[in-house]
Amino acid sequence: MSNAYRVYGFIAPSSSKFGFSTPVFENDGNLYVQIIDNDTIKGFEPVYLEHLDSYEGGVEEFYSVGSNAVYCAKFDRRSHIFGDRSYMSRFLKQSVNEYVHIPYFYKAAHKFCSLSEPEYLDDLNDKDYLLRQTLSNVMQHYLTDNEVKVKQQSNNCPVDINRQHLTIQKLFISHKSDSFDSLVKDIVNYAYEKHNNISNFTYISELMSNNLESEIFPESINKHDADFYVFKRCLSGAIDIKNSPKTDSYNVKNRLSNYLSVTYKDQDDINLDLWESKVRESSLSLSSLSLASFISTSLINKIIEKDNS
Amino acid sequence: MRYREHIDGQQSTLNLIPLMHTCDGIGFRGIIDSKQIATTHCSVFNENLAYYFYGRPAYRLKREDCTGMIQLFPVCFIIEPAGISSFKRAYPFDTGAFDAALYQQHVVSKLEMSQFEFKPNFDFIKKFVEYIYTNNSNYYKGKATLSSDDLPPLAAELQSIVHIINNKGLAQVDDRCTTIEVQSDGPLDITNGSVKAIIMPSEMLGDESVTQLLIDYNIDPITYEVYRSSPSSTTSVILNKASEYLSDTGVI
Repeated sequence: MSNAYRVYGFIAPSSSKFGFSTPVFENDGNLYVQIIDNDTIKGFEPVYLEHLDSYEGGVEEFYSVGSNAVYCAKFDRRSHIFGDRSYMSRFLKQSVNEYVHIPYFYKAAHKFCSLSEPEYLDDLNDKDYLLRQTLSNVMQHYLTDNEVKVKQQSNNCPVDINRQHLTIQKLFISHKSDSFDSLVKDIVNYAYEKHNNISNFTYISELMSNNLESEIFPESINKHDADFYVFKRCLSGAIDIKNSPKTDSYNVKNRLSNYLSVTYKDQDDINLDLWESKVRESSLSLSSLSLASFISTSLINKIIEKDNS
Repeated sequence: MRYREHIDGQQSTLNLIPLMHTCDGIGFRGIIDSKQIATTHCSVFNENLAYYFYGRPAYRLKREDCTGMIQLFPVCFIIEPAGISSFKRAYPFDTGAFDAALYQQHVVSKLEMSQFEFKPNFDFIKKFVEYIYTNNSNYYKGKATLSSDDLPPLAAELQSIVHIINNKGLAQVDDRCTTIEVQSDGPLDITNGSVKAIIMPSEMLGDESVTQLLIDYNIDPITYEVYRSSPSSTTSVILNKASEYLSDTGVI
């Protein structure tokens, strides 16, 4: 038997579209999985499998004891991606937008390579991930039962960024109300009708008893003119403020100016000091803002998925 | 004084530890669909039984049965003992392993398996744990504090049990020898509030029926990542997760 083990296929614990998989190796007609120690292959143990997802890559990949351990993730459209920890970490960080609305996979990826997306703050436990996964599942039904559409629209007034004129696409969501706050609340209420226990999360009640837009928008932004991107950027800015100590105010304000730079043409009118103090005084916690961010990102991703399917 | 009476005369000041029921992914799917942990035919006792381990996820999936993806990754239910409606029997070890003669060289010959049977109640189990291990934490670690010298000279059953527990080689190979087995002859309704947590691969949360069960019945998800473990190491992954849960909830 040779010392070289060829990547032969992959096994996953469920048929979910996204997830980590276990690579299966072949040597001399037998199948094996690696035994990992500190990101290095320290051995191979035999497995007996009737079915596995086969590797259909064009290049044969060989590994032996002492090689970097092989990690693998199943990605919806791109089948299996695999490589060592460094390669997979880079890949998972670069492609986070593709799975940020899939909590169970985000959590696994976060454990693998430490992510810090605004949709998943602050210091979440398994139950917080379960809440997000439940909302994500429910959103699928919500979109079937409710008329929610996205509409892209070019901005007639180009924005001047670094002396370049850019025409920016705006993204509007049509719903029974034109407010993002009411859309987020409508989704939470819909989820509550199916799963009463989500009210056990205190930050759900917090979210329901405050008006998101009033709490997070800088005063000079016109709520009625704001598209989804402006809403999202304001939310991310508010999350950044809540997530940073007051002593870091100088750096926070530097970052805040960037949040709206590519989405809001009148960004210079925004008083960053006022925005920061308004958010700091808001009764919405980091947890509820992060959940609102998760709901809005998931909604858009799911609408796009639905439209593409 | 004989085995059962001797243990029954001991103190029982410890908290009860949850029961653990481990299955593979196929079994998990069946449990979710039927909303119960059903009894199945047991060839050792020749009757329909559901098996649980007291405080430790000691069950091992049979490797020869693992021929598909979902079967390689175990799932463990953590259950309040009060949820077991029909407590049939309990033993200080896994009876399947005893029946397969795994403990043969550690048990006084001529002793039948039935001679090790507990009284079928949880108070007896608590007394046993306190007597042999002093506390729940030592029980979880399989570390007996009672030595053979402390036992009545004719307590052959207890001598055998302490010998099995203290045999490090055997314990390392298989922790089922130090884990109390509880048998029930009725199904467990998993929606009755007694299931406190489920340990599972995080990918299983992608299934809506799983999240629905967890959120609607206040069951804690405890997930593990499959990329970390080869099939042979999932038992220790689950053991660590269960230990964290019991420690976080103040049981051990």
